[in-house]
Order: sequence, then structure tokens, then C-alpha cells
Amino acid sequence: MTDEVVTPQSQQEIPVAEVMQQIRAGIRQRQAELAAWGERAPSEEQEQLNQRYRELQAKARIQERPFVSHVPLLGRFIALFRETWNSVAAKWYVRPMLRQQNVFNQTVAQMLQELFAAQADLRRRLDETNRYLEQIEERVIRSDQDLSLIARKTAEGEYRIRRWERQTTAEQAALDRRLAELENVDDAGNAR
Amino acid sequence: MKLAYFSPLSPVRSGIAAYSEELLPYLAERAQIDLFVDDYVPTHPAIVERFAIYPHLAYGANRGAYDAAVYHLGNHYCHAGIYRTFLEYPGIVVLHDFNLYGLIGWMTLEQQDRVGFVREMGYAEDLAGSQRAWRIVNGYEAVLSSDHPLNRRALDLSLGAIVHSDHARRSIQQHSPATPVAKIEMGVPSSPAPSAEVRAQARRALGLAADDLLIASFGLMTPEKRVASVLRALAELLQAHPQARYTLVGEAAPGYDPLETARELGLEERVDLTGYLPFAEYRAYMVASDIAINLRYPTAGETSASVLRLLGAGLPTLVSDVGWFAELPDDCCRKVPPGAGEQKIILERLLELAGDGALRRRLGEQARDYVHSQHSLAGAAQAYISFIQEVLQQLG
Repeated sequence: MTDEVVTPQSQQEIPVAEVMQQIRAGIRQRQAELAAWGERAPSEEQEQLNQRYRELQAKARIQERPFVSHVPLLGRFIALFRETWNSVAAKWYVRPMLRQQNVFNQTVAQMLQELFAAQADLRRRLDETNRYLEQIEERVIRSDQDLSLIARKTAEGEYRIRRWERQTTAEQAALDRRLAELENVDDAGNAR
Repeated sequence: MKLAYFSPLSPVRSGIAAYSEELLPYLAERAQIDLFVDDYVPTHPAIVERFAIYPHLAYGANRGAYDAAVYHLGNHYCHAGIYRTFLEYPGIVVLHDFNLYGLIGWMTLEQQDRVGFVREMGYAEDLAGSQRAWRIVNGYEAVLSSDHPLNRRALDLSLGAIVHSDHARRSIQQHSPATPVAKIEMGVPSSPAPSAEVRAQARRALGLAADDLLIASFGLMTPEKRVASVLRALAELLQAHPQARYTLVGEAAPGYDPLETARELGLEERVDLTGYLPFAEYRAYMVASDIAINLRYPTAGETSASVLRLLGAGLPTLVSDVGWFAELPDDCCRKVPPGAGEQKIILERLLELAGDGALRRRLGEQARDYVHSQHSLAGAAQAYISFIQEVLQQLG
């Protein structure tokens, strides 16, 4: 860690309150959207992620530990000496780093939560899109099947028309022959 | 009646081409027939001489000249053009294979048309089919072609369907009750029993010793012909009948080596693969053989003209006890149920036939009688014409 990172100046550059506000607002929005999409039981994979997130969050905040010593009799003095030395030599240097690390950890944890929420949101949207696509696909399949039936009916009609045309042509030819025969006989039935 | 007839013809190497070339003269005695083929020139002399032949593309503009179009559909890619024309101008289909996965798969997946495959699976099996198709094309699921007949579109569009087996007829009646369907026994040419002299001549020509026991399988060699099981059974048969030979009369399917098992078992000396043969040589093997084995599993619900030819030639034949093959009378062939015990049953059947010449002759005669009485080309042609007339009359 460099001096530049741990100086109070750089610590002030992180707009913690603003970031947290944005994150909370984002989470509220996602939660509202998720509620709108409908709650679904989390998958096993999602549940594992949630568990690991809870573990991470529990460890996110670093706290100063009191100085102790288990040496008999002199232990109190040793701990007091360490405490004093810490106040003189290390506290002013370590505490800013602790604060910065805590802010960083909290921010990462919140962002992870945000990402999980976004992922869950995307998963739900994907499920919805898949369901929508399935409905479209079903309609396309039915249309395809209907088109085949229409094509078959059309073909049946075409075959009928062909048959009628042939019958009509044959009947017309028979009538023409009969007419020609009639034109060649007189009223008494004798050939002219 | 004038018919437009769509079928592969020679030089296309297809059993359906050979079937059509045998059937057409009989059909032509009962109807006026024009032939429609893909972009090639047919070579069968009698067919070329007798029939007017046009490209598929010519049918659309001239279809008014015909009472009906008859489309032969099977799983060879040579049926793709026929299928496309049928989709555009529906007519009567002859389904040589009940399961058309091979054809549809070739027209879509083999052409990198994944969406087309999904569409066909969706059409045939609704939403579950298209979802499964996506899993298949994305490699998440293996495909078992026998689970997906992909014939619904063809049946929905057809004005009538001709099949060659009760199994296929029943399936169509169940899944597509609106489609008129007829089972017409596949016709094959009648062949008189060869004289002893002709048979001896054929065996000499093939270099067989007098006591050689020639076992043969015929047609395109695919894994479905169960050659590996036969070879393992042969290895055991040779202990009792060392004079047995096994010849695969036909060519191997691309990418398939039917002799691999023979090499593993050290049977190279007793096993041959002829490659594609002209019909005269093919016939010589039929005359010279003692036992035929034409197993098929899994099947696409097809009828086998080559099995009928073997039976018609009086050859005692082993067939799989499945699909159309199971419908053959028990007294004209020997059946082998597919499954775990296949190899053992093949061996039992071979031992039974190899050791009893009288049984072979009796089984062969019964087979010949059956084919001659039930599978004549004239009878098949008459049944075609009667069914087409019936369909046209139903249309009004």
C-alpha cells in the first residue's frame, strides 16, 4: 500500500455516502422490478451464492482489537505498553487504512449484492423472454402446420378442377358428336 | 389415366430406382406415364425407350396435363429433389421408409441448415420437438433417428400414401387419420428356380469348391445390416462347418468398414466384400449362395426389395424379427430378434441350416412360392392404379 493511497486526502476522494445512496436506490429499484416479475424459488446455485455473500458480508468490517498479554503478572504492563506504543507510533497511521479498507469492503459487498440482484433480474427476464419465444415458436409451428393443410386443400381443389375440366371436355365432345349426328338426319329420322 | 411419376432411376444407385424400373412397365399397361427426374440422364435402355422423361422443374407448368403425381420417397439423398417438388405440388406419396429422418436430416443438418432442422422437428413434434432440435444442433443431446420419423409434413401434404407394410399403414392411420393410406405389397420380378447346372456354373464362375457353404449378405453394407454380429457367429460356425464362406455382395456405406471385425477375428480368408456389382453378377451370387443373411436393425420402417428378391430366388434367408421383416411368414425365412442374444440366435439358425440341405431347399421353395403369389409386379401395379383411382374419386 503506498502513502498516496492511505493519506486522508485520498480517503476524502471516495464519496462514500453518495455511493451508498446510489447503491441503495439501485437495490430498491431492482427489488421493485423483481416483485413485478413475480417471485420464484431461488435455484440451488442462487442459494449457494447468497450463502457465500452472507459469509463475506459478516467479514467485511475490520475492527481494532484491544491489546492483551497472557504473561503472568507483567501482562497488564505489556498490554499497556503496546497500547501506548500503538497510540504513539501506529494508530495515526493504521486507522485511516482501516477506515479505507472498511469503506472498500462495504462498497464491494454492496456492489456484489447489486450484481446478484441484477443477475437474478436478468435470469428472470431471460426466463420471461424464453417463455415469450416459446409462445411465438408455438404459433410459428401451428402456422407452418396450418399452411400444409391449406396447401393440401389447394392441391385437392386443383385435382378436382382438373378432373372436372376433363369430364367437361369429354361431355362437350360427346354433345358435339350427338349434335353432328342430329344435323345429319331429317325430322323423320332419315339420313340427309 | 395419366400419371406424373417421380422416382430415382439408373444410373442412381438406389434400390428404389431398380424397383421403379421393374414396376414401370406393368404400370404403363394400365396408365399413361411420364417420368420426372433430377438433373441427370436416365440410362436404363428399356425405360429410356418407352417413357417420356422430363426434369422435375418442368412439372409445375405442365401439371394440368396429369390426373395425379406419384412421388417415391426414401432416405437416400437422391429423393431430395422429389421431396421439394412434392412440397410445392402435393400428390400421392410412396413411403419406402416410414421414418424419413435420413432424408430430412440430409436436406437440413448435412447442408448446415440448423434452422431448417429445428423447423422440421418443430413441425413433426411441436414445441418439444423444436426445443429438442436446438439441444441436438448445439451438441447438448445425441440424436436417435428412430425416435424422430419426421414424416408428418409429408403425410399432412399427401393426397394419399402408399406403403409396403402393415406396420407403416397402422402407424399412418394412427398419427395421420385424414390421409388415405394403402398397403401395397412390394412387387419383385418372378425368377424361376435355377437348374442344378445353372447353379453349378454360377458357383464355378465364383471360384467356389463343390462343398463350400456360401453364406451371403446383399445390398449396401451399413452397420444396420449387423455384419459384425454375423461375423462373430461365423467364427463359431467355422468350428463345425469349416467349409463355410461369408461374402458381402455390395458396396460398403461411406465411412463404414464391414470387414473390421473379420480382421479382428482372423477371418480374412473366409470373408469377402465384392463392392458394387452389376445386376448380372449380383444375380450370380444369389444363384450360387446356400444361405442369405439380410438383417436390419434398427430399421426406418422400410421394406426390403433385396430380401424379397432373395426369397423369390428361393434362398433360405435370415431376417431381423422387426418392422416389415417381422411380417414375413415364418415358414419362408428364419427370423433373428435384435438385442443381446442376436449373435447366439444367428449361430443357432446358421447351424440349423448349414447342417440340413433338405431344410434349406424346403425353406427356399416356400419362400419362392410366397413371393410369387404375394409380391408380383403385375399385382402391385394394379393395386397402385386402383388406389390412385380411389383417391381421385374421393376428391370428387
